[in-house]
Amino acid sequence: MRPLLSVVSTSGKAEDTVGGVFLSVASGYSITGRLTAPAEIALAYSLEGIGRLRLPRKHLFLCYRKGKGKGTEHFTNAVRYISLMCATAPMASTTVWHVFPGPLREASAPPIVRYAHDIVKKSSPTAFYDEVKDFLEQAVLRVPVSNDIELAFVSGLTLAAITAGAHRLGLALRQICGQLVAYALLRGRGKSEALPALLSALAADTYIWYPLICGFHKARTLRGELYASLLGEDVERLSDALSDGELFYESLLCLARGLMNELPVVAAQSNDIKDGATRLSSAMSSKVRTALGVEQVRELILGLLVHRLLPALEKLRDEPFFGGGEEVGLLISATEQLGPGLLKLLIEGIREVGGLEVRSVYVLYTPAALINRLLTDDYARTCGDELLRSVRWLAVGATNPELTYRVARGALKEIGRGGLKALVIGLGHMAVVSSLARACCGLEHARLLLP
Amino acid sequence: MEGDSWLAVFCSYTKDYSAIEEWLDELETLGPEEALRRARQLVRVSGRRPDAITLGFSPQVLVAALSLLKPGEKLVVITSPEVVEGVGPGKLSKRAIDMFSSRLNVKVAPFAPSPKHGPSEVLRTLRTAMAEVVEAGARVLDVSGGTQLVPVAALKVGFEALTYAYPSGEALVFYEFKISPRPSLYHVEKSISIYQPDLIYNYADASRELDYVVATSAGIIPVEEVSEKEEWSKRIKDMRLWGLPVFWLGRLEKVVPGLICAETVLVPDELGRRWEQVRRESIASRRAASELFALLNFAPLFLSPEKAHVILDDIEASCGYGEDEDAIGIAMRHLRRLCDAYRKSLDRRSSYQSVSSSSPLSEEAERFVEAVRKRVGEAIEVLIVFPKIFWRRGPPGESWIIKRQADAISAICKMLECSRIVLISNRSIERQTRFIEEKLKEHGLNVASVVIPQDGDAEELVALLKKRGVEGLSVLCAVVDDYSKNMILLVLRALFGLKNRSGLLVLPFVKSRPKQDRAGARIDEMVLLWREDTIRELYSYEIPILRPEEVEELITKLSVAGEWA
Repeated sequence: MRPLLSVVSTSGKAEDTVGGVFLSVASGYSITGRLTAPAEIALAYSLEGIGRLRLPRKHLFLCYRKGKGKGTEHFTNAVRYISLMCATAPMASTTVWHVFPGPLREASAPPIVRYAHDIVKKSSPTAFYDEVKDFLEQAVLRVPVSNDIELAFVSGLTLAAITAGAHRLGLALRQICGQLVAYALLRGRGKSEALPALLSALAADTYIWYPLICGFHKARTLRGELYASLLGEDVERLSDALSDGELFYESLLCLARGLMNELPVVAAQSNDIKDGATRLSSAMSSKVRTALGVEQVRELILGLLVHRLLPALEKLRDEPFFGGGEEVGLLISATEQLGPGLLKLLIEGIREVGGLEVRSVYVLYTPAALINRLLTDDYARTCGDELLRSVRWLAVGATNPELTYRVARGALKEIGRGGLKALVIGLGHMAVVSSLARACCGLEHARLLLP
Repeated sequence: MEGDSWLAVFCSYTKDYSAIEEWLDELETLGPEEALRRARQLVRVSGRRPDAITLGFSPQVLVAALSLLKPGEKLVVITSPEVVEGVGPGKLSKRAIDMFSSRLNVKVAPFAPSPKHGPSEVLRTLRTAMAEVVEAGARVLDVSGGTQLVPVAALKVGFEALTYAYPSGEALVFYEFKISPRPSLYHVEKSISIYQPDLIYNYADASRELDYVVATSAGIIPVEEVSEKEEWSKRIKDMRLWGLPVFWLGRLEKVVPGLICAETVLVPDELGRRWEQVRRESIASRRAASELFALLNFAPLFLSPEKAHVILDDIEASCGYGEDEDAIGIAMRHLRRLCDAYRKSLDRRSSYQSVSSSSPLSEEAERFVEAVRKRVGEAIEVLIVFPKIFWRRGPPGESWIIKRQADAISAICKMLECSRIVLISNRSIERQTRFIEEKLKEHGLNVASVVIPQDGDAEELVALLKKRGVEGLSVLCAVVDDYSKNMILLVLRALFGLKNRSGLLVLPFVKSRPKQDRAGARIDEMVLLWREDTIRELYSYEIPILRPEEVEELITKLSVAGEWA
């Protein structure tokens, strides 16, 4: 077993935010109540198997502060439930370690006897902090969180994204999280080592654990559409590169270390959002190629942003319909990659590249983007982002085109009534985009951008 | 002696029919208004007053209940055929009914079994009559008249409370029974399929099918009707779904802990009855607004209430844009009503004013062929297809889903009587496209394919399409599920340059919709759309189609950075 990431909260507020965001996102927003959270959450990987079958496994260490009492049991139980049992939560099956701050007193009080009995009966993984301290300190990436709420939020989100399973939403969460960390990094918040560490952990997991687990399950469950919807050929290429399981730890740690050294430098060199995102994406794909020895790899975390969205904004420069510095209403259809980071990068990109000020934002989302909607709102409220808080979210359906058309049409007319021109960005399923295009027809104040 | 007859007949037990007759004579002399004024002075209420009664052979309860009505109100009276016909002792109550007929709404049902009608039949008839009364809004029933079958039926039907009237010697008292309180029902949906939202386009079946989801003042209650012995195993499934607190209707297997009996809080008859009130609108919304319907049922059951509220608000905001009287408008209004009921259930509100119900369904919309012809044109000369990209390691011929794709394209051609197809391919799906091409040729279709690189050049594409003889024809571009938007725009622009009249159709992979075969209990299902029968049955509001004029506007005016950017 090797540790990769350790998030250490140094204040009660940080503990609550990191733990709360982690639990909310990992449970798919079924849990939003606060529980006594760990002071340190660390992630490690192991490789188990029989013969040629090698199954990579994740271990989550929940280390509680002294004096927190039996409330800590509830947090651990919640994580174990969403990880091992709950079918609707995005979190993958993970070994959850309950780490006690110190040796237990004599197990004589009824609650302690009951909990101790539970632990022994189910052989639940537990440890004293002294027993795992040296191991956790070997984590390549360590993120201290104090009173910076935004850092606490992205730390909790990163832990939830990394522990999400291999499925469409699991990959989407990694992308949403990556975009948000990249945004913070490029906006000059990367002076500490925390943000590069989070992005490095995310990338290492996405390029090493994710393909390996897909490769493991490929033959049994992941053929066809589901597999294609994950990563397609890229998964196979990466998965093949790791088919010798012995490369697992080496690649994981090598990639994490490499990125940790490179990303802060790259972020510091960037001229603007587009340039910065492109540089970060290139740095990640370059390091992945080196770590895995593959010739070609599509960058997955910032790929949509760098290769599709931001370049598409260049078209705004040549668009005479909008005046320089004009205020516009933005209507966008959500894809699974849409999150607070992407929205902020997009709005700033529209200003930097297209010279337009976004005054109001409407987002159409289908059930597939449910978590994107909740997560963006959660970020906006936790971090006090007024623009994202003012976003109007409207539910639509890709297979309900007439309904989607009417909703989009209604929203566009509202933008028009406010005296604004509308910039419509069509992302996601073609069925939604076609309804969006139809809704724009005949409206003089709307223009459509298809990245 | 006037006061004596009221005390002897109205405020005391009596089997003296002649005394009752004398008292009725006195009522007739007084007239209805004065008689009720007198009665009101001698009636006491402990708890709630009844708004319906079952009337046996004692007319005193009828007069007492009438005396409690507010001006203009009517009393619902359920009585037996013997009373209505005035047979034997029934003639006393008959006289009272006739006297106050303008203030009564009378329903007739047998109270006692007979050689012809056994107890179960009497009970069933009573339940039917009482159900109509509940449906009309009655909540409290006085059961002092009639046989013992009356309260049995009343409890099954879902009255909120029962009263029993008894004379105390000084007054006639309506006493409300403290029966176990039942929550108020706001809304009932039958057969709810729970789909994981992120799997909605993956042809995955529902994670759980609930027989009912009931919005009540006590919260949202999922209900399972026991239909077979092994059904208890769903409890395990429910544990994996946030320990969904399912309530069970029917005879439970006593094999696992934690199965909650639904009858303690819900009335089976009422569930069915309430569902029937919304059935048509619900089914319309499962078709025209299927994804929002799925999301709307997922949110309150699987999200924390604070987050469920957020999603319900979004859905309500979306549905605020649907005011039309067509299928979409009806579906959207139904969803708003459901949002409202779920929101109030989540808040545990004790009162609920339902939003107005939808108007009846108007005439059905056009089906696929008619819709395409109406929007794109009668004669479609070429079908340009953007096949879905499936990444597969093995030969395409081994893939069931790629074969289905070929079938879908062939079916569209057959339905639209179009025999020419151009497949738009790219390097990543060349093998699949070739396979589809061969399959379509086997169906006797004229097929060609055009391979466009990702960074395709418009002029090169124009030349390729020209070479395929597409220039100037009436074209329908069909996107089979999804495709790169840039590539689609590139092709549409090339076609515009070649003076083609081009419509655009998108045919999604799967969709949840009402079941055609209603044999089972489940009302909707996830269907693969790539089959002739399912495509043919699609309604116009289920098919994303852009008319040629809209396509032209899209590429000449709407698209940012102009026609050839």
